[in-house]
Amino acid sequence: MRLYTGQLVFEFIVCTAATVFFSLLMRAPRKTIPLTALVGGASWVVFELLLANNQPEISAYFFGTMVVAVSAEVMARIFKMPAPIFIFPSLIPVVPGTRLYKTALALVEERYVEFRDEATRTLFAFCAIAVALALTNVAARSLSAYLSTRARRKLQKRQGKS
Amino acid sequence: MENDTVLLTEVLGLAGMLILENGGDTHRAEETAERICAAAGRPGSDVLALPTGIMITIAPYCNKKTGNRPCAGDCMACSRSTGDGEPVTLIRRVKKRTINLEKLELANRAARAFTDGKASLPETLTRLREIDTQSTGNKYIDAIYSGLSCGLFSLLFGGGWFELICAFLCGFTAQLVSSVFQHSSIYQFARNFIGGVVIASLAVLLTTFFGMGNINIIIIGSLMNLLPGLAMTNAIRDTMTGDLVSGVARFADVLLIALSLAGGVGVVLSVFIGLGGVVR
Repeated sequence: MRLYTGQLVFEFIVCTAATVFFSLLMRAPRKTIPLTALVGGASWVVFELLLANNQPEISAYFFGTMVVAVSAEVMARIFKMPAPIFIFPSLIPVVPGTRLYKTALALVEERYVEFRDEATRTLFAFCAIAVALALTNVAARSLSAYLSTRARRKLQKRQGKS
Repeated sequence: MENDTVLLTEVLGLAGMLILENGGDTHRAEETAERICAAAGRPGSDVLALPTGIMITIAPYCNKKTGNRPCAGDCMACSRSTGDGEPVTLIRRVKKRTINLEKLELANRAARAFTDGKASLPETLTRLREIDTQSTGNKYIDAIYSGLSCGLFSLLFGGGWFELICAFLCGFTAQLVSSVFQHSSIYQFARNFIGGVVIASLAVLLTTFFGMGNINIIIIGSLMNLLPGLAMTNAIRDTMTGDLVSGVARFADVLLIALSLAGGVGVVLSVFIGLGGVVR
């Protein structure tokens, strides 16, 4: 599947715009909307690029979510707001809600072979997303704890000397 | 400090409910409640948060500083072990779950203000009550946002300008219809099933009337707003952080939503095909 640069740029812009409206619908704080929208667009681009290079679907979901999760943790520290506020809007393009719908549709229309296929793919996709989120969350928390203890020890040393 | 247990129960109930109602996970609600209790001098309190409610037992006042470690309840400072003083249990039911990041952030900030010592308990209670009774915005503007985002997503799934317009109309109407049911008790189910029916009917009408457009792209684009993708992510995250009941409950919720949506769309499509229509 070849991806043309023009198409990528178009999809990036469309995805960013769609994320903006989703953020507004979720009542995200106004000042966070531009950044989360850009992150949403970027995650879709990463996702599409990985798929276009014949990478396994699961890694596309994983790295797409990684982009979102890492940016969300960084922005959470900068804006001093909880991370889910940045994760929810930007994650919408990557989350395979349509796949879930197709699974349910296959079941309702009695196409059981497709149901089994789609259900398994959906489950793996969601697991990849959840693992990416969990890993980043744990890493970010350990890093903050480590940095804050280091800063505290430096402060104590400086106070001890003076 | 010892006598403000009633005030504390109100604050805890509101804080927990606000977080669970507006998109926070159970871990966040439990952590917030535990921090509020510790800041109020009762670090031995126990919190159980579920998607459908929060249950807190507030230990008697002891004001021991346990830092980041949870209180083990085995020191004599807490009158729990000596039998003096009474623990108080409160349960707060959470009847609806939406994603409202503004309320989530405000509730989090109000709770933080108390645990950092910058606000008193009565102030926090007033603040939380304000957040709870905030107006939730204009339903027409929400419908426009919904329509626009659905339309743009249909572009992303390979649609053209006709799919854009159709998905906008479908998303707009679906959001309006679901806002009618906002205060009823079958809000979740009605929103998804009737939303699916509305979207599918409108999509079918528009494609047959104008004779062009890919109906699958239109339907999938318009469903983006209703799809439980984020709920499923939260389900797996809750299971991973160890809250198994919450994870399984949310997973069941996701299944129900997906089946309602597919059921709504499936009913309309099969009626349409049965009446001799052609699905392009």
